[in-house]
Amino acid sequence: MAEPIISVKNIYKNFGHIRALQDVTTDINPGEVVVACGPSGSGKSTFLRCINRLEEIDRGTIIVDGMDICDPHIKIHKIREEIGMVFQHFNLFPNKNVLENITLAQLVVRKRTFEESISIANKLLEKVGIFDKAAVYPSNLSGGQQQRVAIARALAMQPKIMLFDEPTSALDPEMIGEVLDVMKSLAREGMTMVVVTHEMGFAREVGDRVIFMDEGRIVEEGKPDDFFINPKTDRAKLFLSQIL
Amino acid sequence: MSNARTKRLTRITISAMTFSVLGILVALELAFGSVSHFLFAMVDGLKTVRFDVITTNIKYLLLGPPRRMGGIVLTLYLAGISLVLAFVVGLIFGLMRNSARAWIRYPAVAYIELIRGMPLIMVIFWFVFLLPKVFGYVIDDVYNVIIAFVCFSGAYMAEIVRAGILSIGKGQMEAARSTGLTRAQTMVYIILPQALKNMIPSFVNQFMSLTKDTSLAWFVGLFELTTVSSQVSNRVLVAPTEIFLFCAMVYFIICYSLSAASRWLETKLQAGAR
Repeated sequence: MAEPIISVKNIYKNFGHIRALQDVTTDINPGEVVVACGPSGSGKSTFLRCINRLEEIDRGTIIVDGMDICDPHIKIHKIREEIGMVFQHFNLFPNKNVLENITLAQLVVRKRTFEESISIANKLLEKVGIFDKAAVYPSNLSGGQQQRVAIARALAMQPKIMLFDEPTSALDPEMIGEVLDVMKSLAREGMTMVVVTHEMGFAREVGDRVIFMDEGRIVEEGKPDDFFINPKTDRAKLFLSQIL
Repeated sequence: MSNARTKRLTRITISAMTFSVLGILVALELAFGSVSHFLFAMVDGLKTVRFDVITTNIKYLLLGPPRRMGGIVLTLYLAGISLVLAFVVGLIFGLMRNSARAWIRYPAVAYIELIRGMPLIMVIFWFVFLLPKVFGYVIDDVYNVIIAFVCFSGAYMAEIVRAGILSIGKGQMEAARSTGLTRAQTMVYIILPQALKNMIPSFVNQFMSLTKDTSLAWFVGLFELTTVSSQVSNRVLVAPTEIFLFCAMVYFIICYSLSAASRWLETKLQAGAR
Protein backbone atom coordinates (compact mmCIF):
# COMPACT_ATOMS: atom_id res chain seq x y z
CA MET A 1 0.00 0.00 0.00
CA ALA A 2 1.09 3.56 -0.68
CA GLU A 3 2.15 6.03 1.99
CA PRO A 4 -0.82 7.15 4.08
CA ILE A 5 -2.03 10.63 3.14
CA ILE A 6 -3.24 11.33 6.65
CA SER A 7 -1.28 9.91 9.55
CA VAL A 8 -2.67 10.53 13.03
CA LYS A 9 -0.50 9.44 15.96
CA ASN A 10 -1.49 9.45 19.62
CA ILE A 11 -3.44 12.69 19.59
CA TYR A 12 -5.05 14.16 22.69
CA LYS A 13 -7.44 17.07 22.87
CA ASN A 14 -9.19 18.54 25.91
CA PHE A 15 -11.85 21.21 26.12
CA GLY A 16 -11.36 22.38 29.68
CA HIS A 17 -12.07 19.27 31.74
CA ILE A 18 -13.74 17.43 28.90
CA ARG A 19 -11.51 14.91 27.23
CA ALA A 20 -12.53 15.14 23.59
CA LEU A 21 -9.81 12.94 22.14
CA GLN A 22 -7.65 10.43 23.97
CA ASP A 23 -4.78 8.65 22.28
CA VAL A 24 -6.31 8.47 18.81
CA THR A 25 -4.11 6.82 16.21
CA THR A 26 -5.00 5.91 12.65
CA ASP A 27 -3.67 6.09 9.11
CA ILE A 28 -5.75 6.96 6.08
CA ASN A 29 -4.54 5.96 2.65
CA PRO A 30 -5.05 7.88 -0.58
CA GLY A 31 -8.40 7.06 -2.14
CA GLU A 32 -9.77 5.59 1.06
CA VAL A 33 -13.26 6.46 2.28
CA VAL A 34 -13.33 6.41 6.05
CA VAL A 35 -16.58 6.79 7.93
CA ALA A 36 -16.36 7.92 11.54
CA CYS A 37 -19.38 7.16 13.66
CA GLY A 38 -20.28 6.97 17.29
CA PRO A 39 -22.62 8.48 19.87
CA SER A 40 -22.78 12.25 20.22
CA GLY A 41 -19.90 13.65 22.23
CA SER A 42 -17.69 10.76 21.22
CA GLY A 43 -15.10 13.06 19.64
CA LYS A 44 -15.68 12.18 16.00
CA SER A 45 -16.28 15.78 14.87
CA THR A 46 -13.32 16.99 16.93
CA PHE A 47 -11.16 14.33 15.29
CA LEU A 48 -12.24 15.57 11.88
CA ARG A 49 -11.67 19.22 12.75
CA CYS A 50 -8.19 18.45 14.04
CA ILE A 51 -7.17 17.15 10.61
CA ASN A 52 -7.27 20.67 9.11
CA ARG A 53 -6.42 22.34 12.42
CA LEU A 54 -9.76 24.00 13.02
CA GLU A 55 -9.04 22.60 16.48
CA GLU A 56 -5.51 22.56 17.83
CA ILE A 57 -4.49 19.26 19.39
CA ASP A 58 -2.83 19.18 22.81
CA ARG A 59 -0.45 16.29 22.15
CA GLY A 60 0.47 13.93 19.35
CA THR A 61 1.19 14.42 15.66
CA ILE A 62 -0.89 14.70 12.54
CA ILE A 63 0.89 14.41 9.21
CA VAL A 64 -1.20 15.41 6.20
CA ASP A 65 0.23 14.93 2.74
CA GLY A 66 3.74 14.75 4.17
CA MET A 67 3.45 17.94 6.26
CA ASP A 68 3.25 18.12 10.05
CA ILE A 69 0.22 20.37 10.55
CA CYS A 70 1.06 21.10 14.19
CA ASP A 71 4.38 22.68 13.29
CA PRO A 72 3.92 26.33 14.35
CA HIS A 73 6.10 27.53 11.47
CA ILE A 74 3.99 25.93 8.80
CA LYS A 75 1.53 28.05 6.84
CA ILE A 76 -1.67 26.29 7.73
CA HIS A 77 -3.61 27.88 4.87
CA LYS A 78 -1.25 26.14 2.45
CA ILE A 79 -2.29 22.76 3.86
CA ARG A 80 -5.95 23.72 4.01
CA GLU A 81 -5.89 24.36 0.28
CA GLU A 82 -5.45 20.61 -0.13
CA ILE A 83 -8.21 19.69 2.35
CA GLY A 84 -11.80 20.44 1.42
CA MET A 85 -14.32 20.60 4.22
CA VAL A 86 -18.10 20.37 4.27
CA PHE A 87 -19.98 21.44 7.38
CA GLN A 88 -23.20 20.35 9.01
CA HIS A 89 -24.73 23.80 8.60
CA PHE A 90 -23.31 24.40 5.09
CA ASN A 91 -21.75 27.76 6.06
CA LEU A 92 -22.15 29.24 2.60
CA PHE A 93 -21.31 32.93 2.36
CA PRO A 94 -24.71 34.68 2.41
CA ASN A 95 -23.30 37.89 0.92
CA LYS A 96 -22.16 36.08 -2.22
CA ASN A 97 -24.16 34.22 -4.82
CA VAL A 98 -23.59 30.58 -5.68
CA LEU A 99 -21.03 31.26 -8.39
CA GLU A 100 -19.10 33.72 -6.19
CA ASN A 101 -19.12 31.23 -3.33
CA ILE A 102 -17.39 28.73 -5.58
CA THR A 103 -14.98 31.09 -7.34
CA LEU A 104 -13.78 33.16 -4.35
CA ALA A 105 -11.07 30.84 -3.05
CA GLN A 106 -10.02 29.93 -6.59
CA LEU A 107 -9.41 33.60 -7.37
CA VAL A 108 -7.90 34.63 -4.04
CA VAL A 109 -5.98 31.52 -3.02
CA ARG A 110 -5.26 29.62 -6.22
CA LYS A 111 -4.85 32.85 -8.21
CA ARG A 112 -6.74 31.46 -11.17
CA THR A 113 -8.06 33.78 -13.84
CA PHE A 114 -11.66 34.85 -13.70
CA GLU A 115 -12.62 32.85 -16.80
CA GLU A 116 -10.87 29.72 -15.60
CA SER A 117 -12.49 29.78 -12.16
CA ILE A 118 -15.91 30.36 -13.66
CA SER A 119 -15.56 27.44 -16.02
CA ILE A 120 -14.43 25.20 -13.15
CA ALA A 121 -17.35 26.44 -11.02
CA ASN A 122 -19.82 25.72 -13.80
CA LYS A 123 -18.47 22.21 -14.30
CA LEU A 124 -18.79 21.52 -10.59
CA LEU A 125 -22.31 22.93 -10.46
CA GLU A 126 -23.23 20.61 -13.26
CA LYS A 127 -21.66 17.73 -11.39
CA VAL A 128 -23.66 18.43 -8.22
CA GLY A 129 -26.78 18.95 -10.32
CA ILE A 130 -27.64 22.62 -9.79
CA PHE A 131 -26.25 24.23 -12.90
CA ASP A 132 -29.21 26.62 -13.16
CA LYS A 133 -28.68 28.20 -9.72
CA ALA A 134 -25.36 29.95 -10.37
CA ALA A 135 -26.71 33.49 -9.87
CA VAL A 136 -28.91 32.68 -6.86
CA TYR A 137 -28.05 33.68 -3.30
CA PRO A 138 -27.74 30.86 -0.73
CA SER A 139 -30.78 32.03 1.25
CA ASN A 140 -32.95 31.19 -1.76
CA LEU A 141 -31.78 27.58 -1.97
CA SER A 142 -33.09 24.53 -0.16
CA GLY A 143 -30.88 22.85 2.43
CA GLY A 144 -29.93 20.06 0.06
CA GLN A 145 -29.02 22.53 -2.66
CA GLN A 146 -26.97 24.59 -0.22
CA GLN A 147 -25.04 21.55 0.88
CA ARG A 148 -24.33 20.60 -2.72
CA VAL A 149 -23.03 24.11 -3.37
CA ALA A 150 -20.84 23.73 -0.28
CA ILE A 151 -19.43 20.52 -1.71
CA ALA A 152 -18.78 22.24 -5.02
CA ARG A 153 -17.08 25.12 -3.16
CA ALA A 154 -14.72 22.69 -1.47
CA LEU A 155 -14.07 20.74 -4.67
CA ALA A 156 -13.23 23.89 -6.60
CA MET A 157 -9.86 23.98 -4.84
CA GLN A 158 -9.19 20.52 -6.27
CA PRO A 159 -8.27 19.18 -2.84
CA LYS A 160 -6.59 15.85 -2.23
CA ILE A 161 -8.75 15.12 0.79
CA MET A 162 -12.38 15.89 1.59
CA LEU A 163 -13.68 16.10 5.14
CA PHE A 164 -17.43 15.85 5.77
CA ASP A 165 -18.73 16.87 9.19
CA GLU A 166 -22.24 15.41 9.49
CA PRO A 167 -23.18 16.72 6.04
CA THR A 168 -26.75 15.42 6.12
CA SER A 169 -27.68 15.96 9.78
CA ALA A 170 -29.23 19.39 9.23
CA LEU A 171 -31.22 18.37 6.17
CA ASP A 172 -34.86 17.46 5.75
CA PRO A 173 -35.16 13.70 5.12
CA GLU A 174 -36.16 14.06 1.46
CA MET A 175 -33.00 16.06 0.72
CA ILE A 176 -30.52 13.65 2.24
CA GLY A 177 -30.49 11.45 -0.86
CA GLU A 178 -29.37 14.16 -3.26
CA VAL A 179 -26.38 15.06 -1.07
CA LEU A 180 -25.40 11.42 -0.50
CA ASP A 181 -25.56 10.78 -4.23
CA VAL A 182 -23.00 13.52 -4.84
CA MET A 183 -20.78 12.10 -2.10
CA LYS A 184 -21.08 8.57 -3.49
CA SER A 185 -20.04 9.63 -6.96
CA LEU A 186 -17.12 11.48 -5.41
CA ALA A 187 -16.06 8.35 -3.54
CA ARG A 188 -16.22 6.28 -6.72
CA GLU A 189 -13.93 8.78 -8.45
CA GLY A 190 -11.26 7.90 -5.91
CA MET A 191 -11.35 10.95 -3.62
CA THR A 192 -9.87 10.44 -0.17
CA MET A 193 -12.74 11.10 2.18
CA VAL A 194 -13.25 11.23 5.92
CA VAL A 195 -16.94 11.35 6.70
CA VAL A 196 -18.59 11.83 10.06
CA THR A 197 -22.12 10.60 9.56
CA HIS A 198 -24.91 8.46 10.89
CA GLU A 199 -25.92 7.36 7.39
CA MET A 200 -25.15 3.67 7.69
CA GLY A 201 -26.40 2.95 4.18
CA PHE A 202 -23.79 5.33 2.82
CA ALA A 203 -21.07 3.76 4.96
CA ARG A 204 -21.88 0.26 3.73
CA GLU A 205 -22.17 1.26 0.11
CA VAL A 206 -18.99 3.28 -0.42
CA GLY A 207 -17.07 3.17 2.85
CA ASP A 208 -13.75 1.32 2.91
CA ARG A 209 -13.42 1.46 6.66
CA VAL A 210 -15.55 2.41 9.64
CA ILE A 211 -14.05 4.02 12.70
CA PHE A 212 -16.29 3.68 15.73
CA MET A 213 -15.50 6.18 18.46
CA ASP A 214 -16.69 6.55 22.03
CA GLU A 215 -15.52 8.89 24.79
CA GLY A 216 -12.69 10.24 22.68
CA ARG A 217 -11.20 6.88 21.77
CA ILE A 218 -11.34 4.68 18.71
CA VAL A 219 -13.17 1.67 20.10
CA GLU A 220 -13.38 -0.38 16.97
CA GLU A 221 -12.45 -0.12 13.32
CA GLY A 222 -12.93 -2.39 10.39
CA LYS A 223 -14.63 -3.01 7.07
CA PRO A 224 -18.21 -1.70 7.05
CA ASP A 225 -19.77 -5.11 6.43
CA ASP A 226 -17.86 -6.66 9.32
CA PHE A 227 -18.62 -3.76 11.59
CA PHE A 228 -22.33 -3.59 10.90
CA ILE A 229 -22.97 -7.33 10.87
CA ASN A 230 -20.50 -8.56 13.48
CA PRO A 231 -19.45 -5.75 15.80
CA LYS A 232 -16.79 -7.01 18.14
CA THR A 233 -17.25 -4.72 21.12
CA ASP A 234 -20.29 -4.41 23.35
CA ARG A 235 -20.24 -0.63 23.00
CA ALA A 236 -20.55 -0.90 19.22
CA LYS A 237 -23.31 -3.52 19.52
CA LEU A 238 -25.27 -1.22 21.81
CA PHE A 239 -24.77 1.77 19.50
CA LEU A 240 -25.85 -0.17 16.42
CA SER A 241 -28.90 -1.55 18.19
CA GLN A 242 -29.91 2.01 19.03
CA ILE A 243 -29.57 3.49 15.56
CA LEU A 244 -30.66 0.65 13.29
CA MET B 1 -58.85 38.31 12.80
CA SER B 2 -56.36 39.36 15.44
CA ASN B 3 -55.32 42.22 13.16
CA ALA B 4 -58.86 43.60 13.15
CA ARG B 5 -58.95 43.23 16.91
CA THR B 6 -55.71 45.16 17.32
CA LYS B 7 -57.11 47.94 15.15
CA ARG B 8 -60.30 48.15 17.21
CA LEU B 9 -58.33 48.22 20.46
CA THR B 10 -56.12 51.01 19.10
CA ARG B 11 -59.19 53.04 18.10
CA ILE B 12 -60.78 52.61 21.53
CA THR B 13 -57.55 53.62 23.29
CA ILE B 14 -57.13 56.74 21.15
CA SER B 15 -60.70 57.92 21.72
CA ALA B 16 -60.45 57.21 25.45
CA MET B 17 -57.29 59.29 25.66
CA THR B 18 -58.81 62.13 23.63
CA PHE B 19 -61.89 62.26 25.85
CA SER B 20 -59.91 62.26 29.07
CA VAL B 21 -57.65 65.08 27.85
CA LEU B 22 -60.71 67.12 26.78
CA GLY B 23 -62.31 66.36 30.16
CA ILE B 24 -59.29 67.65 32.06
CA LEU B 25 -59.16 70.82 29.92
CA VAL B 26 -62.88 71.51 30.53
CA ALA B 27 -62.44 70.93 34.27
CA LEU B 28 -59.45 73.30 34.42
CA GLU B 29 -61.37 75.95 32.47
CA LEU B 30 -64.43 75.68 34.74
CA ALA B 31 -62.36 75.73 37.93
CA PHE B 32 -59.74 78.41 37.18
CA GLY B 33 -60.47 79.84 33.72
CA SER B 34 -56.82 79.00 33.03
CA VAL B 35 -57.22 77.28 29.66
CA SER B 36 -58.71 80.23 27.82
CA HIS B 37 -56.15 82.49 29.49
CA PHE B 38 -53.35 80.27 28.22
CA LEU B 39 -54.80 80.21 24.69
CA PHE B 40 -55.08 84.03 24.59
CA ALA B 41 -51.52 84.36 25.89
CA MET B 42 -50.30 81.99 23.20
CA VAL B 43 -52.00 83.96 20.43
CA ASP B 44 -50.54 87.16 21.88
CA GLY B 45 -47.14 85.54 21.95
CA LEU B 46 -47.38 84.33 18.38
CA LYS B 47 -48.08 87.91 17.28
CA THR B 48 -44.69 88.95 18.67
CA VAL B 49 -42.72 86.09 17.08
CA ARG B 50 -40.17 87.63 14.76
CA PHE B 51 -38.75 85.16 12.35
CA ASP B 52 -37.33 88.08 10.38
CA VAL B 53 -34.29 87.93 12.72
CA ILE B 54 -33.41 84.69 11.01
CA THR B 55 -33.73 86.09 7.50
CA THR B 56 -31.77 89.22 8.27
CA ASN B 57 -28.97 87.24 9.93
CA ILE B 58 -29.09 84.23 7.64
CA LYS B 59 -25.73 84.97 6.03
CA TYR B 60 -23.99 85.08 9.42
CA LEU B 61 -25.76 81.95 10.63
CA LEU B 62 -24.80 80.16 7.45
CA LEU B 63 -21.19 81.30 7.01
CA GLY B 64 -20.11 82.83 10.30
CA PRO B 65 -17.69 85.76 10.48
CA PRO B 66 -15.89 86.84 7.29
CA ARG B 67 -12.56 85.39 6.13
CA ARG B 68 -12.93 82.17 8.10
CA MET B 69 -15.19 79.17 8.11
CA GLY B 70 -18.16 79.36 10.45
CA GLY B 71 -21.86 78.88 11.03
CA ILE B 72 -23.76 75.97 9.52
CA VAL B 73 -20.92 75.41 7.05
CA LEU B 74 -18.43 74.87 9.88
CA THR B 75 -20.85 72.55 11.68
CA LEU B 76 -21.21 70.45 8.53
CA TYR B 77 -17.44 70.52 8.00
CA LEU B 78 -16.70 69.43 11.58
CA ALA B 79 -19.31 66.69 11.47
CA GLY B 80 -18.42 65.48 7.96
CA ILE B 81 -14.65 65.27 8.39
CA SER B 82 -14.87 63.79 11.91
CA LEU B 83 -17.44 61.26 10.78
CA VAL B 84 -15.28 59.91 7.96
CA LEU B 85 -12.07 59.85 10.02
CA ALA B 86 -13.81 58.37 13.08
CA PHE B 87 -15.13 55.58 10.87
CA VAL B 88 -11.60 54.77 9.71
CA VAL B 89 -10.21 54.95 13.27
CA GLY B 90 -13.09 52.84 14.55
CA LEU B 91 -12.54 50.21 11.87
CA ILE B 92 -8.81 49.98 12.61
CA PHE B 93 -9.20 49.79 16.39
CA GLY B 94 -12.21 47.50 16.16
CA LEU B 95 -10.16 45.04 14.11
CA MET B 96 -7.23 45.39 16.51
CA ARG B 97 -9.60 44.79 19.43
CA ASN B 98 -10.60 41.50 17.80
CA SER B 99 -7.07 40.37 17.10
CA ALA B 100 -5.86 37.04 18.45
CA ARG B 101 -2.49 38.63 19.31
CA ALA B 102 -2.35 40.25 22.75
CA TRP B 103 0.18 42.93 21.78
CA ILE B 104 -2.21 44.20 19.10
CA ARG B 105 -5.35 43.78 21.18
CA TYR B 106 -4.30 45.45 24.44
CA PRO B 107 -3.40 48.90 23.06
CA ALA B 108 -6.84 48.97 21.43
CA VAL B 109 -8.53 47.94 24.69
CA ALA B 110 -6.62 50.66 26.56
CA TYR B 111 -7.59 53.35 24.05
CA ILE B 112 -11.24 52.34 23.92
CA GLU B 113 -11.69 52.05 27.68
CA LEU B 114 -9.83 55.29 28.44
CA ILE B 115 -11.78 57.39 25.95
CA ARG B 116 -15.15 55.87 26.74
CA GLY B 117 -14.64 56.72 30.38
CA MET B 118 -14.16 60.44 29.66
CA PRO B 119 -16.71 63.16 28.89
CA LEU B 120 -16.28 64.54 25.38
CA ILE B 121 -15.73 68.05 26.69
CA MET B 122 -12.64 66.82 28.59
CA VAL B 123 -11.24 65.26 25.45
CA ILE B 124 -11.82 68.52 23.58
CA PHE B 125 -10.03 70.46 26.33
CA TRP B 126 -7.05 68.10 26.18
CA PHE B 127 -6.62 68.52 22.49
CA VAL B 128 -7.24 72.26 22.44
CA PHE B 129 -5.44 73.40 25.59
CA LEU B 130 -3.28 70.65 27.06
CA LEU B 131 -1.55 68.78 24.24
CA PRO B 132 -0.46 71.86 22.22
CA LYS B 133 1.16 73.22 25.43
CA VAL B 134 2.79 69.93 26.34
CA PHE B 135 4.15 69.14 22.90
CA GLY B 136 4.57 72.74 21.81
CA TYR B 137 2.74 72.73 18.51
CA VAL B 138 0.30 75.26 17.10
CA ILE B 139 -2.50 74.31 14.75
CA ASP B 140 -5.87 75.86 14.09
CA ASP B 141 -8.36 75.01 16.85
CA VAL B 142 -10.70 73.66 14.18
CA TYR B 143 -8.25 70.80 13.63
CA ASN B 144 -7.64 70.30 17.36
CA VAL B 145 -11.38 69.92 17.82
CA ILE B 146 -11.67 67.55 14.85
CA ILE B 147 -8.92 65.37 16.32
CA ALA B 148 -10.78 65.33 19.63
CA PHE B 149 -14.04 64.30 17.90
CA VAL B 150 -12.27 61.59 15.93
CA CYS B 151 -10.56 60.18 19.04
CA PHE B 152 -13.78 60.23 20.99
CA SER B 153 -16.11 58.82 18.36
CA GLY B 154 -13.50 56.38 17.10
CA ALA B 155 -13.56 54.55 20.43
CA TYR B 156 -17.31 54.05 20.25
CA MET B 157 -17.14 53.03 16.61
CA ALA B 158 -14.43 50.49 17.44
CA GLU B 159 -16.86 48.78 19.78
CA ILE B 160 -19.57 48.87 17.09
CA VAL B 161 -17.12 47.21 14.69
CA ARG B 162 -16.21 44.58 17.28
CA ALA B 163 -19.85 43.78 17.98
CA GLY B 164 -20.55 43.62 14.24
CA ILE B 165 -17.74 41.15 13.66
CA LEU B 166 -18.84 39.01 16.59
CA SER B 167 -22.37 38.96 15.20
CA ILE B 168 -21.15 36.92 12.21
CA GLY B 169 -21.13 33.25 13.15
CA LYS B 170 -17.92 31.30 13.71
CA GLY B 171 -18.93 29.00 10.85
CA GLN B 172 -18.22 31.69 8.27
CA MET B 173 -14.63 32.06 9.43
CA GLU B 174 -14.17 28.28 9.55
CA ALA B 175 -15.69 27.74 6.12
CA ALA B 176 -13.56 30.42 4.51
CA ARG B 177 -10.37 29.29 6.21
CA SER B 178 -11.01 25.67 5.29
CA THR B 179 -10.83 26.70 1.63
CA GLY B 180 -7.37 28.12 2.26
CA LEU B 181 -8.11 31.80 2.82
CA THR B 182 -6.00 33.53 5.46
CA ARG B 183 -7.59 35.28 8.42
CA ALA B 184 -7.08 38.68 6.82
CA GLN B 185 -8.53 37.57 3.49
CA THR B 186 -11.55 36.11 5.26
CA MET B 187 -12.09 39.43 7.05
CA VAL B 188 -11.95 41.41 3.81
CA TYR B 189 -14.02 39.12 1.58
CA ILE B 190 -16.45 37.43 3.95
CA ILE B 191 -16.76 38.83 7.46
CA LEU B 192 -16.57 42.61 6.99
CA PRO B 193 -19.02 42.85 4.05
CA GLN B 194 -21.62 41.06 6.16
CA ALA B 195 -20.69 42.74 9.43
CA LEU B 196 -20.64 46.30 8.06
CA LYS B 197 -24.18 45.85 6.80
CA ASN B 198 -25.30 44.84 10.29
CA MET B 199 -23.45 47.81 11.75
CA ILE B 200 -25.25 50.50 9.71
CA PRO B 201 -27.94 51.33 12.30
CA SER B 202 -25.37 51.62 15.10
CA PHE B 203 -23.07 53.70 12.93
CA VAL B 204 -25.86 56.11 12.07
CA ASN B 205 -26.64 56.39 15.76
CA GLN B 206 -23.04 57.36 16.41
CA PHE B 207 -22.95 59.73 13.44
CA MET B 208 -26.02 61.58 14.71
CA SER B 209 -24.56 61.76 18.17
CA LEU B 210 -21.34 63.18 16.75
CA THR B 211 -23.19 65.75 14.64
CA LYS B 212 -24.98 67.12 17.67
CA ASP B 213 -21.82 66.95 19.76
CA THR B 214 -20.13 69.40 17.39
CA SER B 215 -22.08 72.04 19.34
CA LEU B 216 -19.60 71.47 22.18
CA ALA B 217 -17.03 73.32 20.07
CA TRP B 218 -18.85 76.37 21.42
CA PHE B 219 -16.84 75.94 24.64
CA VAL B 220 -13.55 76.54 22.89
CA GLY B 221 -14.83 79.42 20.77
CA LEU B 222 -15.21 77.89 17.32
CA PHE B 223 -17.74 79.79 15.24
CA GLU B 224 -19.98 76.82 14.55
CA LEU B 225 -23.77 76.93 14.48
CA THR B 226 -24.38 77.06 18.23
CA THR B 227 -21.78 79.80 18.75
CA VAL B 228 -23.02 82.02 15.92
CA SER B 229 -26.62 81.48 17.10
CA SER B 230 -25.78 82.70 20.58
CA GLN B 231 -23.84 85.63 19.10
CA VAL B 232 -26.82 86.67 17.00
CA SER B 233 -29.09 86.19 20.01
CA ASN B 234 -26.83 88.38 22.18
CA ARG B 235 -26.81 91.09 19.55
CA VAL B 236 -30.55 91.06 18.83
CA LEU B 237 -31.47 90.48 22.50
CA VAL B 238 -35.22 90.10 21.97
CA ALA B 239 -35.50 86.91 19.95
CA PRO B 240 -33.68 83.97 21.62
CA THR B 241 -36.61 81.61 21.07
CA GLU B 242 -36.70 82.16 17.34
CA ILE B 243 -32.94 81.92 16.93
CA PHE B 244 -32.45 78.78 18.97
CA LEU B 245 -35.52 77.15 17.45
CA PHE B 246 -33.90 77.72 14.09
CA CYS B 247 -30.62 76.34 15.44
CA ALA B 248 -32.36 73.20 16.71
CA MET B 249 -34.17 72.79 13.40
CA VAL B 250 -30.90 72.83 11.47
CA TYR B 251 -29.43 70.08 13.69
CA PHE B 252 -32.62 68.10 13.26
CA ILE B 253 -32.51 68.40 9.47
CA ILE B 254 -28.89 67.24 9.35
CA CYS B 255 -29.60 64.25 11.60
CA TYR B 256 -32.81 63.35 9.83
CA SER B 257 -31.02 63.34 6.49
CA LEU B 258 -28.45 60.93 7.93
CA SER B 259 -31.22 58.68 9.16
CA ALA B 260 -33.03 58.81 5.82
CA ALA B 261 -29.78 58.05 3.99
CA SER B 262 -29.17 55.03 6.20
CA ARG B 263 -32.67 53.69 5.58
CA TRP B 264 -32.13 54.07 1.85
CA LEU B 265 -28.78 52.29 2.09
CA GLU B 266 -30.24 49.45 4.13
CA THR B 267 -33.05 48.76 1.64
CA LYS B 268 -30.57 48.99 -1.22
CA LEU B 269 -28.28 46.41 0.41
CA GLN B 270 -31.25 44.27 1.39
CA ALA B 271 -32.05 43.82 -2.30
CA GLY B 272 -28.85 41.77 -2.67
CA ALA B 273 -28.35 38.97 -0.21
CA ARG B 274 -30.35 37.63 2.71
